[in-house]
Amino acid sequence: MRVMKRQRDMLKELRRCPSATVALMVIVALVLVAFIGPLLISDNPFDLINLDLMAAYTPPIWLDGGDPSWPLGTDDQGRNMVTAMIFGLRTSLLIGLVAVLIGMVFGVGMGLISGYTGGTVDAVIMRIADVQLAYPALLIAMIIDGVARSIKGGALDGKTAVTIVILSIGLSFWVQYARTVRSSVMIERNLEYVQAARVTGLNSRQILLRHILPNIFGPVFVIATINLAIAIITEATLSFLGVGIPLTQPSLGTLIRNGNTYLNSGEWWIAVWPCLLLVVLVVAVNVFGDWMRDYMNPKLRRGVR
Amino acid sequence: MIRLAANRFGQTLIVLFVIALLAFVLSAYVGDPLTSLLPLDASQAQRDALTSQLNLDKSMPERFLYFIWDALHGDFGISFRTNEPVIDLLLVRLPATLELAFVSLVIALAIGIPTGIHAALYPRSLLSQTFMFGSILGVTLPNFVVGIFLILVFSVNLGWFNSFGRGETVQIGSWWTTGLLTKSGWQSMILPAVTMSLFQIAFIMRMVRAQMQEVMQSDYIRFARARGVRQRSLHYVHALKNTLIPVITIIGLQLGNIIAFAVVTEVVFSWPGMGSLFLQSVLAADMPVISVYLVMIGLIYSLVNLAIELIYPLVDPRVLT
Repeated sequence: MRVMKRQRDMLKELRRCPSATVALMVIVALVLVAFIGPLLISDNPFDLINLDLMAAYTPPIWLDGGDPSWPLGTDDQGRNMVTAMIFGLRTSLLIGLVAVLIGMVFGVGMGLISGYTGGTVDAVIMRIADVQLAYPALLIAMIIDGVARSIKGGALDGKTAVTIVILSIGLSFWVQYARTVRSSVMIERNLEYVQAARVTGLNSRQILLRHILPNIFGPVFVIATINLAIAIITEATLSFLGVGIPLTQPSLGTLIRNGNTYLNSGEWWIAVWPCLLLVVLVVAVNVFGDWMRDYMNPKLRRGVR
Repeated sequence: MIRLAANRFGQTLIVLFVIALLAFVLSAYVGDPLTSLLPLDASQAQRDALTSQLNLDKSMPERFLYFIWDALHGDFGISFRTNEPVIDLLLVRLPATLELAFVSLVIALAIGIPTGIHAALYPRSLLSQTFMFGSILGVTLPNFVVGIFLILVFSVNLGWFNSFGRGETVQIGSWWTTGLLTKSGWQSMILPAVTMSLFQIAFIMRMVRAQMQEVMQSDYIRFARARGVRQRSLHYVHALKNTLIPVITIIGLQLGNIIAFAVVTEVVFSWPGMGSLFLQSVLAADMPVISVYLVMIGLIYSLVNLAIELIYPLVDPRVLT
């Protein structure tokens, strides 16, 4: 009941900010297209059987040589840009979501342990966090990728590449969650309700997960929304650089990397459409994330801005 | 003050030690230097020679000490990919990267600070709102997407600038090469420098704006105004001075991000700098080069951090209490 009321409040507040409303609508639309679209498209554009080399390099419909069956044109292998982007969008969103989830679970866990136990454990975890803070997500992911390549002896197969991208982006996020959760836990653990729970004989795990965690989840959720945009950008960048997702299961970044080759020869649409889609997605997630941050922060909510 | 300095210095050393240890573990346990560096038909004598040259026959703690000792003397091992000393690879590419970073920083400061001040002083003006909206794009847009659009418009369509390489370079001294003295050098410099500076412009603008707004609220500015200090000197001398200190700090802490953007930018524009070297090394699993990067980024970050913490109390004595 309480949760439902809170959601209604949130929607009411959201309606007052048109840019955030539009952003949320864009996000919902893109998610629907990305996850329902592939079910409706019978021929996966990345299945080799469906390649149609005769149709390669068809420009968008409004240019000379455009064809109504490929409204946004085709790429170098004759793939329809529209379906290619729908599949790419799905990969990008999935990887972003899973990476954020991994970072969140790991980071929140570390933060809970660090804040609740204190002492040496806390000091060690926080020093590791300090060291990692020197390295941005992109560089961590690249270093992990290089190490994985070395262990695997050169090239990576598709599945391993995807796993490594997800893990390395996810793990590069944990510090933020850990720090936030830690400081909240240090405050919460001295509050009466925690002492009461302890008196009733609950163990630390139950107290942390069932009692403290629900009370500190607000900021965690805000970080997760903002991280989603960073995760999508990082994955796209890695794929663009050629250390991310292979072309057999392309993400938006892989599509852009492919299109980048044809930039100088005039086939601009192969790179430009996925670029625009990526920009729309990232800006929408960021605008919504910004609004979430303001909404969760009561100081800003009273309209101080 | 001295105790604080010693404390911070000690912490920095510990962090650097951990990073060095990590880099050593990576280069010692990941990959096999003998198969990477020697031809397939290498004789046993060649193998033994390389083994002792790389200290592979020593114990791990000894090798770690050698690793640090050599690194302090500028010897970072031999690249698996090119069989050249890593330090040579780095030095050849250093000028390209530093020049790009320098030009982009100049652009960022020249645009970011004035726009930030304007946005702070006249928050309601149309120009400020445009700046702020632009800065959101600057922070959000992926670096390589910006690069691709700049290439498409200014290189492919308009043909004003080059989209790859450094153009003609001039050699200065024994190893420094510069592209800043030739026309084609500048034509090649503009697009990557703008790409790289975009995030920094947006970031600096937002920081200057936030700090300046806070400073303008403070008592000393109000007193200065009451004392009849001219508007101009109030803004650009009294307020700006206290605005820039925290801004510089935050920019310093963004250095890691700027290095990451440099990697992406260099790849987009095929800039022959250290960033593209890093990507090539990652793709080729060239562990010695990767571990040097690991140490280098950590070193820069820790030193900037240390410098900030030590200089801060000198500039603003309030933080000590």
